[in-house]
Amino acid sequence: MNKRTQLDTGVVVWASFLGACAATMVFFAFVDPLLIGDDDSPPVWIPDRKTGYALGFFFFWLMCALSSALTAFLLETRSTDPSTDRSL
Amino acid sequence: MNAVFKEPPSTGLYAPHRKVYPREVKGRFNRLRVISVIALLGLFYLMPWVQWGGRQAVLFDLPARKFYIFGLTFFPQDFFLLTWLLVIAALSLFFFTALAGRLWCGYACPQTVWTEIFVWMERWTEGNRQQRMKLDRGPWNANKILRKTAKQTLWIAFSLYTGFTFVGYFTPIHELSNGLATLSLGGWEWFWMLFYGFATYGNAGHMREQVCKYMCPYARFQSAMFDRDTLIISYDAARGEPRGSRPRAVDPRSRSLGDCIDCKMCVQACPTGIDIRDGLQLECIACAACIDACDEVMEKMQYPKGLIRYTTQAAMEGRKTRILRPRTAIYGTLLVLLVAGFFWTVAHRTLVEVDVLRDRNALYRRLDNGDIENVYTIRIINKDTKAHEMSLRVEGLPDAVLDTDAPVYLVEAESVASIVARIRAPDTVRGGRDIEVIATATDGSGIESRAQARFIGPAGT
Ligand code: SF4
Ligand code: SF4
Repeated sequence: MNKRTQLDTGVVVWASFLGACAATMVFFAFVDPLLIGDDDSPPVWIPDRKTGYALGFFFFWLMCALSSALTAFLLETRSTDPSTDRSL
Repeated sequence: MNAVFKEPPSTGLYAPHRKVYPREVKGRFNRLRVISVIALLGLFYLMPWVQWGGRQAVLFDLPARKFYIFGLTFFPQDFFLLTWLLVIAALSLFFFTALAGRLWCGYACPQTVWTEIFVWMERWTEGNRQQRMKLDRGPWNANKILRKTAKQTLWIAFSLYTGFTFVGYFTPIHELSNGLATLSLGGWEWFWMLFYGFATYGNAGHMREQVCKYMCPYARFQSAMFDRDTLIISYDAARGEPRGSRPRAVDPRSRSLGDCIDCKMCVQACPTGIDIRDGLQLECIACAACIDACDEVMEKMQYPKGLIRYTTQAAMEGRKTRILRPRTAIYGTLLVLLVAGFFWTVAHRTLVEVDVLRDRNALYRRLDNGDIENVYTIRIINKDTKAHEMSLRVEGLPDAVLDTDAPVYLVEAESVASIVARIRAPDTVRGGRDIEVIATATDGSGIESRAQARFIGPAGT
């Protein structure tokens, strides 16, 4: 990884961390992790709320990171320079 | 971007990073920051130990889905209050930025505050600016190893304690310290303690001004709140230029020099490594270290202080600074309204809330006598510090009755009772109807709370 990719990765990880914090807060304000699932008992991989919150947080982080990385990738690799692109 | 700011140099964001060795300064603004650091961090580290009414005063009990803040208890149902609070926080940031620039950055941002403590520890172990630079350049001898180890030990211990305190806001801190002493902590407590400790160590020990330059969103958009009447830190070029060194006894005017003796103290003091004499830059976190440094020099030279000072663009141009202007007036009014509304809402918050959930499995059931029955799970949320005896009834549907297993339910303080309720109505109800479920306290406290729900009968009119 060159220096630039490293910094870009840092920005992606950081920005998605912020997004994940916000998403976790809003989501779990409305959803009790123990009530996830079809019937009355939560799935085995949510043995308690703490685990539910943590898993939720990492899931959101991953999703936000994918989205951030895709955004960064698309912006980096676009062929036209917007300042010379007449269609803009 | 706002015209007040100098354009960043074209090397851009990815210029190689040079380590900044901020010089220690003395002066009134430094004193202000020390006070602020001690007050804010003192609050952070002591708060979890404060008890209130027999339990931790501030505790975000996530496993129980309850937040305690002094005498008040908040449930997930109060989430809008948190959103409201965040809006207030954002708006105050706008307001203070318009008024006083990056006051937040220089004195109150956790990044600044923790970095300051880490720099103190660095000074205790590695010495002042010259000593630190020499130490870093020098070979790895016993002295260097000793000093670096001492610094890292202090940093790591402090970071771990910070992580511990942070988790102490979510797990009762007495429980946490017992768990730590007996090594019986849960996995997640360990994980979040190390996570937060590591973040503190990295951000305050190593990243420092780079957090402000590369990571902080506020640093990027704060310039949008700036105008010519915003308080900034600025070098008085008209007075200072042309800069140049001179013996102390000489009158600078006789050599056609300005007041800046070009000692570069302001540059050495700057934690972000910029030269304020180049004009206001986005990297400047308005910490006022350069003011303190320069004032000290001015005093030695027996020149008036304030060659670098808090001022506004307007004042620098010789106009009057307007504090009251549309921008500050609008932010200010909104802020006052929101804060007042917030406290009013908290004070008038209903202490008992009802939540009605329709049974997911069946729309309705026909009883033997022909009546229609819907089943609900009703949750009574008691936010009060006292238990309440509650009974339920239904309104909005003629002749409907609400039936529960017990006539009244005791809902313990700060807890939620889940009750299965059957609502029955005569066989004249068709389609969906809006009803209201009312919970009334039977203990004479006068508490009553309502919730909307749907009653569903057979299709038809
Ligand atoms: S630039 Fe950002 S991180 Fe740095 S002091 Fe200001 S608010 Fe804090
Ligand atoms: S230029 Fe002055 S006020 Fe700005 S960051 Fe540097 S020392 Fe602080």
